[in-house]
Amino acid sequence: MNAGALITDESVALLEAIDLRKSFGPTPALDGAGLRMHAGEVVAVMGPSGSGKSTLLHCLAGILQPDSGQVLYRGAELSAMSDGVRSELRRTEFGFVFQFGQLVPELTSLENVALPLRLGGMRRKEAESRATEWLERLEVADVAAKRPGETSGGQGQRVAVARALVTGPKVVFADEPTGALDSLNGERVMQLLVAAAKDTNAAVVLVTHEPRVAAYSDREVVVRDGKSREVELAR
Amino acid sequence: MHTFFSWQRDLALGVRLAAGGGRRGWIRLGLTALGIGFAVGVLLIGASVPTIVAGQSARGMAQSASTVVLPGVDPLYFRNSALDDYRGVRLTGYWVSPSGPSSPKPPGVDKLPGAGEAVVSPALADLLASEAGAALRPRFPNGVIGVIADNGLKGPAEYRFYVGTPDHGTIDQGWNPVYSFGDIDAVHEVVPAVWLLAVVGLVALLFPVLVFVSTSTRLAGAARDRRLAALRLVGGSARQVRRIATGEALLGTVVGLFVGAVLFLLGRGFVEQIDLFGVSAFAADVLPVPALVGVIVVAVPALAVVSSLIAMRRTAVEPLGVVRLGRPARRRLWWRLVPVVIGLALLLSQGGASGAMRTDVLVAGVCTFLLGVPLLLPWLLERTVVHLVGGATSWQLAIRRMQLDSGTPARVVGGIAVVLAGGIALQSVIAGVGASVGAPMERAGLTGRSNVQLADVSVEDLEVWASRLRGLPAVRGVLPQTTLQVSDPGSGESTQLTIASCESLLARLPLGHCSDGDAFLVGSGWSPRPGQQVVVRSYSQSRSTAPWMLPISTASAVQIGSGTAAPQTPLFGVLATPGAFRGMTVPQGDMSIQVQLRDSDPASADQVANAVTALGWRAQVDDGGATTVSDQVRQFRTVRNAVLLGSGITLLLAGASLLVLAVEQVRERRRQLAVLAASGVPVRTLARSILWQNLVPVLIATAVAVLTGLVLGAFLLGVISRPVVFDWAGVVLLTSSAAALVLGVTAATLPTLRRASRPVELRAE
Repeated sequence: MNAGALITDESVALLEAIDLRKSFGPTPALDGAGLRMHAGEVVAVMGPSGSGKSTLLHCLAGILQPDSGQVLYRGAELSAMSDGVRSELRRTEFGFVFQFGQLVPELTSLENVALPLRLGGMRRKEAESRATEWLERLEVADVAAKRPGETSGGQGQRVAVARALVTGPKVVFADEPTGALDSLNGERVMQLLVAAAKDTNAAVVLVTHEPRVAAYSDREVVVRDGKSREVELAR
Repeated sequence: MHTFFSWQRDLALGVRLAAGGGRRGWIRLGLTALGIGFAVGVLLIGASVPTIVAGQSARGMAQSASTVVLPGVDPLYFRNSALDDYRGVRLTGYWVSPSGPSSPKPPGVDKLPGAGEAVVSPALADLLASEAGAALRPRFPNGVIGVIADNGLKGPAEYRFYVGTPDHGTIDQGWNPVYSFGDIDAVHEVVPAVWLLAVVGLVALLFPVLVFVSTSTRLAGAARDRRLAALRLVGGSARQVRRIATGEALLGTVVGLFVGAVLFLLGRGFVEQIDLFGVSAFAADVLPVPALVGVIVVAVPALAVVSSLIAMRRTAVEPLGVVRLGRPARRRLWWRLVPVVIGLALLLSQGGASGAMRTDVLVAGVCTFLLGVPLLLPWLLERTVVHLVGGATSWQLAIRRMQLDSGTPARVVGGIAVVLAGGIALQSVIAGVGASVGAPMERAGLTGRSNVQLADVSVEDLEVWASRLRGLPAVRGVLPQTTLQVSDPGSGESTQLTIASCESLLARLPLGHCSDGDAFLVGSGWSPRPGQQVVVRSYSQSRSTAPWMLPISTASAVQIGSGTAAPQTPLFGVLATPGAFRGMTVPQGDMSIQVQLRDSDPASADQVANAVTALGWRAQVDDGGATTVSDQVRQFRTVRNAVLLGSGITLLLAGASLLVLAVEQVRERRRQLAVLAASGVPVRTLARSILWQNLVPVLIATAVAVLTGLVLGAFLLGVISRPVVFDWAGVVLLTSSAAALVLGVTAATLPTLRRASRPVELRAE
């Protein structure tokens, strides 16, 4: 199976997790968690520290394999895919933004954004041209030649968002994307992330414990003790 | 083609990552390249050993004189010079006397020296020109007329000379007619024990170098893991990440190969200044064997890549491998013992009762066995530190750190452990082989006496020279004597006859009373009876004989009693005063003058040697300073000393490697260290913690190394059927050197630690 053999029917959920269970040694992280989301949706996964929300995100993204349960992406089960196919999915269909950006410190901002395209085989010139467009869109074109260590936290996160979106992903996984930023920078990063995702009709899984950040989502799921629960929003 | 381009792209990205990262990236790359460079430099020296040995052998062969008659060639009369030692410097010299214009010239000599003239090696020329050689200059009274070219020397530190003489003696007097130089039959056989020592020495010293290569590629492993995990998160496949990691490892290794080549070339320039216990090599001979260079160029990067890929296997499989560090799986012992068992089996298959010894199997056995050492260490360290608890803060920090990651420190000390194990095994082989080769005779040291052997001089001349020597300020007394042989004409039994004055005899033996005409019998074994008719003959000119009747008054004497000075050569047989031969012609004997000096100062001995220079080859002076060791013992000593020196160098290399890795570990953990320092943990506590982190693995490594080294040494001695003898002093020396090395490395790490624990390191952006 490859990433191209996925169901494109709009009625089918883009990403669905069913009864996920995952333990790290004797410690259970997920205990029957579930989630369902459609294209273009922004879903906030909330919960206290250690509740299992990051583990849920990693299972949804195919980074971690659940001990039991299913993760379906456009109808196809992730655990049935080979590592190569899951890598291809992460490169072409998914994008990632983490608390500390998870940028490669040796590469410049431009090279970091172009990295997923280069890994997919795109030529350097074309990859960097598209990366430049995204850096401009995220308002960080001025740090294109700088390495992550030479930029501010807010700039680094915006570069990370650009890298997450440069491949035109269907789902963006954001794990505490503003956790290391001040409120002003955090607000700006969220505005840009959500706006760009809406523009490209990408779904966003937003793991956060901050209500201010969760307010950018369409709906919220709370994870507590490894179990998930949908929250009615009064917006 | 697509695959090719994927490879190319991923490798290029790896190279980009290795070279990127600004100053820190360059420092990391530099340290890796330096670590590998040192290793490659040593490997290149090892690869040059066959060329050096071949060069020495060819030069030795070229120097060998052949007495095979060649028609039309005027022989060059050739004789060893007795001048073989000057103040501890080993000299090799020859008297030469051409018999015609076509006499052969020794290699490297353009013009044969005339009477009293000398042609000397550059090292000897320098010595003669220096203040230190002042007392040696009079031995070459007509000066130095030429310098021996490189092709006539084994090495640049060889002190060689040829001195001309207008006449020559007989074959009995040590003279040989030489028709050519370059005797191909003059190859010296290397004894198996020496060969084993050389082979094992080379393997034991070069093998740790490969361990350093693999540890060098693991520099900044945590940062590399984080970087590669990030690549996995953005969609890099496991295969791609492996290729990228390969590219990263390759850059450091390729730069390391260049650094190693440069270090080798720089070192090669200094090689002519190295005098390794009398053995030196020309830079031209220090050329790595091309095939071995090929092996190094391929094997070092391959090893670097493989060890780098093994190190990142968790990250490659699991993108979050470094994000969530769970308790690592317990290490297994069984597969780590496999190389040890295979190595011992290979060694057991060699030598012993069957006597068969295949070098390749032996090398494989030693390598495989030694491979077990770095493999066993991580398991042993893990099992040890898991039981260590409590203690001071520094101890706790160190132990907890090792409990979390025992692999890195174990790998760091793996190189030292292999050096120690190899070194201890070699010490054992040296002790065992040394015990059976024969204790190498050390330089006897000056004894306050000189013995002047005179050839082809009359009895009158003997007295003249004895008188001259007696007049020297440094001389307390002289004892001239002539040595011949007496034999029973019937049975043919014989013993020594010494003719000397009463004064000489009384000075050496408690004879009681002596007057000219007396004779004495000394010692056990056959001796003629008083009044018996015997034949007197010269030792060196056996055809010259004379009948003689032992005086009736001949008395017996004690061999060595409380004489005023014990002689250098004991007197035995028949002792007679010149008066005992009145009325007969005594055959020419071997004449010598025992000279008693006022002190054991080398200058006094030189005074005697210089005083008889006018006698040329006819006078040989032995001041007790020259060594008289066999070729076998000399070979053994050279290899032993080279191996010990090599152990020292490799240990230093291990120290340099440990330092590089320790510094890098501190740099990698600078944020955590800064946090600790900011939280009030004193820097000295952090320093102690680093000391424990270095010391605990080294102690365990030392224990493993001592055990494996002794086992390996015992097996190797079994291979050559030698008694198992351990050199405990050597073991203590090596292990304490390792401990000193750790202390030194920890001290050298402190400046980096101080910098790493500054509050500025807390900065995240």
